[in-house]
Amino acid sequence: MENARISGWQFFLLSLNFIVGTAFFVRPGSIIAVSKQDGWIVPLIAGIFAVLIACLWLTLASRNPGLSIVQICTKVAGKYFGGFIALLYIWFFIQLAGWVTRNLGDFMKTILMPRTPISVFHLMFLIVVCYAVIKGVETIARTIEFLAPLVVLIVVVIYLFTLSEWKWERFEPMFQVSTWQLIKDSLPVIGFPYMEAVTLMMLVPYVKSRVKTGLLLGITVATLLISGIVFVTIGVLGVTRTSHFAYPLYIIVQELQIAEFIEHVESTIVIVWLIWIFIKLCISYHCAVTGICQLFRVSDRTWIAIPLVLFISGIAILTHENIVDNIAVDTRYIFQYTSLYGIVLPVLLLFLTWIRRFRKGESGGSA
Amino acid sequence: MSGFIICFLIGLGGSLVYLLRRKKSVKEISLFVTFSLLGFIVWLSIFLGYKVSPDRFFGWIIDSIGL
Repeated sequence: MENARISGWQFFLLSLNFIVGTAFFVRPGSIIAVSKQDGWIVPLIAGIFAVLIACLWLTLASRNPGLSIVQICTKVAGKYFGGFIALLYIWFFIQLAGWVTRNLGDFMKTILMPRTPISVFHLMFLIVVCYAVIKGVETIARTIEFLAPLVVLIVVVIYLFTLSEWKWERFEPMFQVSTWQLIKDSLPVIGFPYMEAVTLMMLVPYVKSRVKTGLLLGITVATLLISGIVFVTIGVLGVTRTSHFAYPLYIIVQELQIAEFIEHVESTIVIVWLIWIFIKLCISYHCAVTGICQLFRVSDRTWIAIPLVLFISGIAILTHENIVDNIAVDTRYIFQYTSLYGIVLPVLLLFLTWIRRFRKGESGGSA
Repeated sequence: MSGFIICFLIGLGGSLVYLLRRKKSVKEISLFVTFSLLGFIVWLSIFLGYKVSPDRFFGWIIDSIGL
């Protein structure tokens, strides 16, 4: 295993940026289309469930200290069954990297460069990410530490400048959706982005201290940011307009006018999103490579990382036909699918850990 | 498509020569070849038009289970 160490602060930044990553741009449109004026409550509900699920992951990690989720699989479930579960997780990390890559491609092709083939964006970005992954988790963490202030600054400035377009009437009628309906609407949001954060359990062994604080605080701040952007989007664009856009935040920034002569500052928000995509892709790619190295006991990750560029770029093309197909799959299946990795398998692993401990204690007692 | 196949074979061959010269373990070389071939198959299926979406496949499984 890589001999890297990251601080609690770096792990917090990794968690925050991983969760916010693509969701910040992709989620507001779909949330507002479903829950209308009450959409900003949906991420808050999803965030509460996410914290509970994260407690399950942290319990699993504390019962198996110093091990990543792939190592826990083989330790508690045995070589063959555990190996199979570990392979499922590795596949999930690869698929996640494919989704993130495709999100980038869809955005660049539909909004910025419609005449460029989508695979060009995928390959160019994946080559850079592959290099970062080969350099290791410390490099990725330091990059995030360096880029996070820039991203936060741009987002805060945009939040502030959009206030001139704000109208409270756009929130009327408020609280029309029942609590049960809001919980049902929050299920896809729990699936993406929160349950995807199980990926971070691959990084836990590298964290020096404050793992719990880093993850739980990361989820909480990400929840507030996503809820905040949904709130701003409703207040600035309104429900009807937002429901028609795939990337409402981009439209908000595109229409932004500062001091009547600074216009079209959308490139700034594109930079923010590219940084977030880079971070999320780095983490999921790194976890896939580390998972493979840990499962097959390979020390050098370079020659595992390189062929994954070809594989992930292919998966990104195959994953869905277009944005509409992506939204349909996301609404219908994402919660059920990610539940397997975020809830079902961790519960199974925790159960197997307890059985193992119980057996060990029993054999120790009888001896 | 033929350009892709030629580029892939050259890349794979060159990498294999490099790995063998550096005396990398058999496990490492076989993993490299496996993932390269997986990527190759995925791209070949895209070029040939036999697109099998993993999302749709898992969606079909979820529908079959009745979730």
